[in-house]
Amino acid sequence: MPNKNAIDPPAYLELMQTILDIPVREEWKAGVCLHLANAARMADIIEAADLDPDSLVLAGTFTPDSGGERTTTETTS
Amino acid sequence: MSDLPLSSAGDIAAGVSAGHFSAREVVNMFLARIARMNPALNAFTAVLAERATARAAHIDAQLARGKKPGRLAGVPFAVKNLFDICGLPTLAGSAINADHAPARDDALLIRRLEAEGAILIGALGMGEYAYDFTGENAHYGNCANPWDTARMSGGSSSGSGSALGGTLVPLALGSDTNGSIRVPASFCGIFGLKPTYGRLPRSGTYPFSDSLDHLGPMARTSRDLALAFDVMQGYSNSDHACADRPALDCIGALERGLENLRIRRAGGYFSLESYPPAARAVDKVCRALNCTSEVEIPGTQEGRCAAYLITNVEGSRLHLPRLRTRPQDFDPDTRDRFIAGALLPASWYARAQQVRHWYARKAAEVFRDVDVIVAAATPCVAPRMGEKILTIQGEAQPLRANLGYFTQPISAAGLPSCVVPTLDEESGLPIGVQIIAAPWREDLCLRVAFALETRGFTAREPDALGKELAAV
Repeated sequence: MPNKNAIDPPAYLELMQTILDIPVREEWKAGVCLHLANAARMADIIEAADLDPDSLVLAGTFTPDSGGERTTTETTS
Repeated sequence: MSDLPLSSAGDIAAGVSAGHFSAREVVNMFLARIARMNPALNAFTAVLAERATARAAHIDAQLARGKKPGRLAGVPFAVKNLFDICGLPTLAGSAINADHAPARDDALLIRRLEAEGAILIGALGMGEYAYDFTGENAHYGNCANPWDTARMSGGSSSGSGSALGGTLVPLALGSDTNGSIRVPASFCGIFGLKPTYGRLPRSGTYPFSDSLDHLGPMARTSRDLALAFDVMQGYSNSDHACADRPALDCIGALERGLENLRIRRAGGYFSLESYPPAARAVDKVCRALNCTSEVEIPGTQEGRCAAYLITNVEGSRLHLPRLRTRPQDFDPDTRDRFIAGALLPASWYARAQQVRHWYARKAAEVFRDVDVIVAAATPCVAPRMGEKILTIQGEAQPLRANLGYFTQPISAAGLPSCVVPTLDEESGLPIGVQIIAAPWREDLCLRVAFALETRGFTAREPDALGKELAAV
């Protein structure tokens, strides 16, 4: 599988912790980099999923409802 | 009374309603068991003796006046400590939340159970902010497995699994984002139901990953799961993800048997050549169900990875302010993952949501021709506490993230899944099997679980604690 999401975890961590303003102690960095590398592997797998390249179905949907709590019951057949 | 700890919630409710014993006697007996057994298990983080005793007196008074308290009359239950309990801070397994103001009301599902006569008896431990499959917690201590206290209970509903496995309580509630009901159910030898995403309102609980968070019941029988689930169903607009669906009558459907059900064993991603205890468990269940053919849900690996990334990003966004100001106060095992999640590119998250929708559609196509799918719940029996590595597909992987290898994709698709316990004769430890159905068909999961229970797949009393429990 082509590695489209290749990152250098230590370099990426240094850059992004500054942008996000998260103080990461030296002794935590190896653990964080391990998880960054793992996430990058996951990102590669989902990138390779066979989706229509012109689709963008991703939004969570909701039904606006101004009413109160309701409870409904049905019996399964 | 001495048989009560092994009684089902339904039997306790029947006994209280018939006047065979009082709610007060039931509560006192379980409080005594908790006092004796909890030091070994560390399942409870708060025991609500005063509240439970008062509530029991109320139930008994109702009965004395000829009123019926409900379908769960006098049944003690406990909840994972991410549920709001009036008067307590909602810890969610963290030290940080101990600074929070006490909750002003109970979570909605607690109120629904108590409206049917159940009695809240305590709060249960969990992995920090639910980011856990082990039951380990740096702040409050590890939650032990009642089958072997040197082993993990599983998480993140660790106290729920341990308390039920140890028969400290007949009914508990947990949450399940990627497997946090099903993993401890598997390791502790009990039943657990993760309903369809959107089925039960999460109002009054501390969130983890809004796109994937579910609540559900855990119990020692499938009938108790069905009973609690039926009581808790119902739309509420207090949770934006709660679907306005008709409630099922799962108790009524429980005894319909297996006839006409198309049951298949999960293949592909769920193949078990590398996981002998899980393979033995699924083999046994499939034999009992006379299930001889397989089905594969395409895209499962991708769906699992999507759930992983969505969870990582959403959970980290929730905790970003605290990661900035007090990262040293997190459990080290969750802090590093949260920090990593806070840094991930937005395009990865958007793609993960896209893949989740795609995978859910793939699963829906499979369920056109299948009613129920049988799959392993965990790759292994409960590991020893402190273990860090798990072999997945022949590769050494971090254990904490991978105990949910078989549950996480089911969460991605939002499917209902009920864990049924089996006993692995080789290790002498329990390991669960998932019974998975199409969205909104929890009744089918529970119906098959009940059929298996009648064929011997029951929650057994842990051998290791048997003598101690008998002495209580």
